[in-house]
Amino acid sequence: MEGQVISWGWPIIIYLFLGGLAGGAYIIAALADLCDIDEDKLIGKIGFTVAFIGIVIGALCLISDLGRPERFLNIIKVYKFTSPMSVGVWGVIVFTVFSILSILMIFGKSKDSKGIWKLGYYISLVIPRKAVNAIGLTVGVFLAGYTGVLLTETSRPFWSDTPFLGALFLASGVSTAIAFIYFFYGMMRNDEIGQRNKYKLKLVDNMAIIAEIVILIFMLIQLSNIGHLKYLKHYTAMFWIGVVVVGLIIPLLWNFVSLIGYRIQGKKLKTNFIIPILILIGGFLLRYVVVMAGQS
Amino acid sequence: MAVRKGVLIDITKCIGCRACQVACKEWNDLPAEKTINRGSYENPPSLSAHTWTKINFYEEWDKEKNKMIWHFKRSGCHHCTDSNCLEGCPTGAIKRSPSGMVHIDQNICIGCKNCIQLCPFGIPHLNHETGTTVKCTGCYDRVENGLPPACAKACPTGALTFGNLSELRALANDRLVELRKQGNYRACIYGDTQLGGLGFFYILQNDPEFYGLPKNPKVVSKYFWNILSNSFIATIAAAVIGLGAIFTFRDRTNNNSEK
Repeated sequence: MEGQVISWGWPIIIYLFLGGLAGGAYIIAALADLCDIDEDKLIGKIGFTVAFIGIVIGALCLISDLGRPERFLNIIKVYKFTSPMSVGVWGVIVFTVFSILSILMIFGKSKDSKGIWKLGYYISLVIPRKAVNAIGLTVGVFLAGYTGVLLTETSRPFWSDTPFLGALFLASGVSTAIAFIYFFYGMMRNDEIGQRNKYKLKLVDNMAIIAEIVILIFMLIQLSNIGHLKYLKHYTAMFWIGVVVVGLIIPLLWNFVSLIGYRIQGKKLKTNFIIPILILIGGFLLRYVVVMAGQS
Repeated sequence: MAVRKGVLIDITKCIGCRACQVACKEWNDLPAEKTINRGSYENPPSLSAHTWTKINFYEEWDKEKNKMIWHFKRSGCHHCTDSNCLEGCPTGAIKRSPSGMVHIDQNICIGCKNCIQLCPFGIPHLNHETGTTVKCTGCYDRVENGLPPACAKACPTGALTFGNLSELRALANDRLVELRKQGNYRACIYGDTQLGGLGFFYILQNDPEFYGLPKNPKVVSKYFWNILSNSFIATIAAAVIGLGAIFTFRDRTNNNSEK
């Protein structure tokens, strides 16, 4: 490529991370609500809030990266099926609407709700909350996966020659979202129901981490076969230590030990910030390495 | 509908005078760039927001004749038929003129840099002063008024030939036959099939890769199907993780509180 420099830098890396986190948080919150695992809807409340805050900050990063941020409305004057970015921006808008609806409806699920939350109750009279969450769930899946597909749909060989980025970012998004939700949930609720739900969250987190590892293995083999591992050259240490060991292996083993302890020995699941931080660091570095390596 | 126009870049005729480079700057009112001696006559080192057309210099050692051969290749937008940048531009700022010249409407561009990621040749650049992406316009403002692009007009050797694209394709084929007769067996046409056919296409003296040109650049954004197929593995991953989560969340076997 002719004299190219890094075109997509920090704001885009943060956006890809927060987009995955927001999508993953919505997926977990919606599934928790649809499966009725928490009576007080705390997982849903935390998850939808994380989804909303994540996508709003992410969208602001996206706008701040524009050369002409004041013209950002130009992007929603057009809808182009052929442009992954156009499709994605509309996905972000629809996702934001669903996360707002879900927040309103989960916080205002009863007739006695006060203030703005009462609006959620009125909306639920028109559309059931679970129907909104079920549709929003598909939008959440789209958002978490699209952040990777956006990169695949370019001419950068490291991104475009592998079909695994969407799946990788989706699995990572779910994992980072659970780490976030688990931390706040654990801080707020630690009774028996809390313990049971923390166990479930940890178990699903490990599933997402294992899925991420499997996808990563397939991706590395495929990239190696087409000689594209050279793009990772400058980021080797960051990838293996930051993404794989810190973000995947340590949390996986730690979670595994905790789960065994809870299930077999009846040990309580503790809430600490170390594992969530490690997972979040790993998820962020994954986006950093992929975005930078693709433009090197 | 207007006839599709194009430029045949015959690098076997190029002498590296860079008249095209200067003409492009003059017509488009692009500022000069401060350059340094990099041990090469080639300057500036690459295309940029202020250099939309330039001559790349390549050196090759001819073992048979025991001498250095210089190759000069004009770099700039190829005005592809299947333009990744045009299809992928989320605002519709990238347009095609009736004669086929792909250009960026500076009044609409938001500087998202998507076209930079989509172009397999690395042609568009962000102009940090305007905050918009810029590239060779194919001089559509000249072409639509019956004039050749500034680069083709300035070329003194006939290395850049402007005309109807279909006629240029025939001309390129004839030229290739002529070069082969002269014993230039490495010569080839680049841009007759790539990305649906390039509007600005080449007769090269060596393999495309020698000049940093991708042999088979991909059409990225034209088909929505591409987006769906690239989402396929993500969908499987979502289904696996989702089912695992549903199974776990619905599992009531360890609901101690409900006993």
